[in-house]
Amino acid sequence: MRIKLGIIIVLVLPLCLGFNLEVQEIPKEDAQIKLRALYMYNFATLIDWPKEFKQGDFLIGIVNENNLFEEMLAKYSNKMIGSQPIRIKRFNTVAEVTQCHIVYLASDVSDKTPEIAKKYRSKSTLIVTEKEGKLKDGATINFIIRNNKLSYEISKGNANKSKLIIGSKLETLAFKVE
Amino acid sequence: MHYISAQKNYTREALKFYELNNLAEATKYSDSAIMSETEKNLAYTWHVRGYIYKDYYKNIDKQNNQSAARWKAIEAYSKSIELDKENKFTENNLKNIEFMATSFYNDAVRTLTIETYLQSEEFYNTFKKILNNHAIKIDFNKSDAEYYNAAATVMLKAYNKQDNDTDKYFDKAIEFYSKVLTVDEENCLALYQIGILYYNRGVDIILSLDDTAELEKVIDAQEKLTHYMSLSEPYLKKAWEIFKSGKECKNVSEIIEGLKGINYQRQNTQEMQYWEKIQKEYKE
Repeated sequence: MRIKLGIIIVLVLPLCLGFNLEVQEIPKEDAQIKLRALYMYNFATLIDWPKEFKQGDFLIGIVNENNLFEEMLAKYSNKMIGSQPIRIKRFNTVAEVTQCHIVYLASDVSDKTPEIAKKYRSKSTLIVTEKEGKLKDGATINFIIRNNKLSYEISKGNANKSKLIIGSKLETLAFKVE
Repeated sequence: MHYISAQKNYTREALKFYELNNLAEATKYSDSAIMSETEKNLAYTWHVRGYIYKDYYKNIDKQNNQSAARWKAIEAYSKSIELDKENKFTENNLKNIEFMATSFYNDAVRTLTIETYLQSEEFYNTFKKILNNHAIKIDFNKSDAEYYNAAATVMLKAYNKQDNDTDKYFDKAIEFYSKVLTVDEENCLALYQIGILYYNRGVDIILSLDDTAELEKVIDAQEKLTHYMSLSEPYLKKAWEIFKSGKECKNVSEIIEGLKGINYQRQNTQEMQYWEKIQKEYKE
């Protein structure tokens, strides 16, 4: 007796069964601004100011660099340097600058460094710039780019003139100390 | 399935129960048939056995990925081919083997999760091995690219969740996208994803620094950032070259953004401005 087995249909399932492929995005937060803010905070903690400047708020002034101002305002406003609460101030121009413990001059206003140095050296203001050659103009710390990385150089002479004592760690980790 | 008249008793009995949908009895007779001296060397015996165990896998084991019946079906079809000197059943057997192999591929898809990705890869490799062993030709490069892109996506999601073991998921994502590139070196998606994985990893190192991180940590983090930018760049540059050559490449604006970003992170203003210019031109 013949046995009818019937027709078997072999189904080959499709190879692609709807994989859901995710594409990444680049983060919106600015790592370079965060780096600069971190350096600025370390400058504040690793430098010693004269006694008469160790009272009241610890003022950090940012000139013409809004992103850095916003970052520091958000992250450092409630932090302390010793017994002094940090306050961040924004200045749009050099002319607006008032006395601070630290003044950061963005690169496009760095040419005004001598003006700030003359006005605030006796007030022990740490002037931080971000342009080649600004130590000669009176900056104490200048951000530089070396080997594709942000680093800094220090003028001990300018620090001495401002009666600022640069901590040994800050000196050791600098790219250059003049 | 093919008919043979006046066949021996065990296989005939197995077939009878198979057609009655009584797979438990069918398997018993089939198991006896392959022990029988008169039946064990017949291609037909194994051919019928293949169908019985295939249905057992589907209907009794409910396509369980640990089903022993599935392997018995594959072995049976394979043995039938080996014994089939007249090629009566071979074409049909090969189609069934392809079907059974595809069930492993389906299991690979189903188990492609963070918890079971190792098992998934095993299933995928089994799928390929079965087809290779029977010289069944498919475009393995295409299926490898599809599978490993999907596997990498699973790792990417785990990495982005930033729970435990992020290093492991990062490394696995890179590994899987790299496997895509070994079979398709111009796979733009894989190039982009690896490039951006490295880029984001570098940036995350900076962004995850504590706000009061000590200077040594900041400097160390920058070293790592630069290192990851140098890992990222070749992949994004290659993706860009592929796009420029006119070949298929999506996410072009993100590729340009990545290349611009790499040079921004490296403080390389000139190069960054070059990519800004390209970005503007591309948008126009």
